[in-house]
Amino acid sequence: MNIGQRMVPAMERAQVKVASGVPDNWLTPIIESLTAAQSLVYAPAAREEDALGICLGAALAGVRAVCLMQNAGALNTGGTLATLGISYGVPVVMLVTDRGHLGDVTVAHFEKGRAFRPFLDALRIPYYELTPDFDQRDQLTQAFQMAELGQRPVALLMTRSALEGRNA
Amino acid sequence: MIEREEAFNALAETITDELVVTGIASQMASWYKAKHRPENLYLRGPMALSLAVGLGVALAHPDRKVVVIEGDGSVLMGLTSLIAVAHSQPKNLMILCMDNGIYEEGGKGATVNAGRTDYVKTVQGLGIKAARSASDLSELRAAIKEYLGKDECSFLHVNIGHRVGPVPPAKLKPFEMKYQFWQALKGKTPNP
Repeated sequence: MNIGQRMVPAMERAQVKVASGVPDNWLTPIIESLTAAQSLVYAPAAREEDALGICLGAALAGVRAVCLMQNAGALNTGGTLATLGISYGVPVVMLVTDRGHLGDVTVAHFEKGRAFRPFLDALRIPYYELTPDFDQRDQLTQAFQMAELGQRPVALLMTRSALEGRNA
Repeated sequence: MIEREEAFNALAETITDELVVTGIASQMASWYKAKHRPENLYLRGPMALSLAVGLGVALAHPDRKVVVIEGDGSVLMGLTSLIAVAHSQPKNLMILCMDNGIYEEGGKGATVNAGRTDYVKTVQGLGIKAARSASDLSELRAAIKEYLGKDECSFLHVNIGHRVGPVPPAKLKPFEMKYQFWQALKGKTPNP
């Protein structure tokens, strides 16, 4: 099974009802599976702030929601995270491809990889690396438990090792 | 042109059990004054995100009509949100664009391209077909009634005047705004 076929059951176990996102080539199999899923609604967005806004709205309406994006787009969401995600204390989970680390070094990704975790630290948003056995460990559910306990967004970071099921 | 307070009062007369999401600043303040109730989700930030937030609320509760109240400056800033709305086409979502041609809370300068943007054609071009404009109270009341009763995603552009005098903001902190909305949704909170 590819990561998309594994991610949908993981989201179902976490009782995710709404997802939104902007494509990244690492996210494509997940988005394809989410689009086909019957257990939740996937609403595609044209930019990352919208995807986050859709998920914040769903969470404020009382359901679990996941937004998917690359770290470049996530870096654009600082104002939304500060003024809505954190100020209101909204428990959403962001699934972010954290590009620009070992095994994924290109000129386009390198600086994003260096900037993204300090960005999350500055906003005091908890983040955790998705591991290759994320579905067996039920890490989506665990991320929601953290978000709901802390009443704030939580980020799950996808690196190449998580996607390929091996170390980079 | 409709006087701002009259436009909000016309909406308040018609709203019953709909969920209402407001944009920041003057939209929040005017709706708080016109019809404060737990079914309102007031945004204090960021500018323009009420369109995406309203879409998320509508997808989470397809059984409830959701009304978004936003200003012209925010609609322009959030045009990409309207693309997401057009893609998902939630039948339970109605968007009101309160167009006074200025950034009411942002220095009162003219909105970008004020007077030249055709909001209805723009929105229809994105794929939201149920879109129209209202410039007097009777048109507004008729359009609100039609779109609230319609099982279709809709957009209503409202020509309003500038605010007359200050309107105080909603007297709620962001966490209180969240909890009141969660409670209005009958305990469907992820972590009540």
